[in-house]
Amino acid sequence: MHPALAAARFDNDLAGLTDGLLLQRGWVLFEKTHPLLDLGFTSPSGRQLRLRFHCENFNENPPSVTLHTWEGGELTQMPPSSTGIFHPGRHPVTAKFFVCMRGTREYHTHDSHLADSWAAIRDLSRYRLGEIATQIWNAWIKANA
Amino acid sequence: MNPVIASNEKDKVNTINVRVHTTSGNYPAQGQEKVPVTEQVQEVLTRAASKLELVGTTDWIVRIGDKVVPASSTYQQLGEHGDVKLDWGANEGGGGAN
Repeated sequence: MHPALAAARFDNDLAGLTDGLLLQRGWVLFEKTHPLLDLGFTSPSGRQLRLRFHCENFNENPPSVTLHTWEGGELTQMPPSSTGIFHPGRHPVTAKFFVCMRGTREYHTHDSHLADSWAAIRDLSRYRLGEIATQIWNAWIKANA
Repeated sequence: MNPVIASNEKDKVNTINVRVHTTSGNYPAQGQEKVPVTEQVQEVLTRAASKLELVGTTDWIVRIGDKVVPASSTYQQLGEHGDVKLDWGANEGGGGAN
């Protein structure tokens, strides 16, 4: 995928990340410059989660999502979620904790899900970049409100 | 009461100003859409999906503030009036093979 096309896709998928939406959801935008989306979630109870979406070649490939402390360090303990998307073990390829959910590179490259093709779902609206973030946020906020 | 003022007051009571927010963009792009308070929330979501070219949104959820509301409800049923921001997006993803 041409880098300019990937960058345009990135910008288009995140066009709605306005101050209003961020405030409404309790999201904090650390960085939004292709190929990196660095996004924090906050909950009314004061819990926080920071995610980095590495979007090289999106959406030919799904984004790689890494989990971080609020300060940017690697998260070493997975938070609870409503659907179990935060895998308690490390990924066989990256050796990092990961988001095990359709739409993340770690899911589609995991041995258990190689048959679940990203190409078959990538054009659905729920797999736009901002909506992948929304899916993760909904699973997180429901268990961390 | 002046009939024009009375008519404006009635209009305010019977209509609501709505804007749909998604991560891909807002509907309408600028300002708000005035709709009857008796209209179901789903109606404006359908128009937003068309304008923002969103497909497969049947399982998306909509919030007003931090509260998830049924899209089949009317604004009147939800007790909304004035200006309403609808936060619309994909529901939680399933873990693993879900």
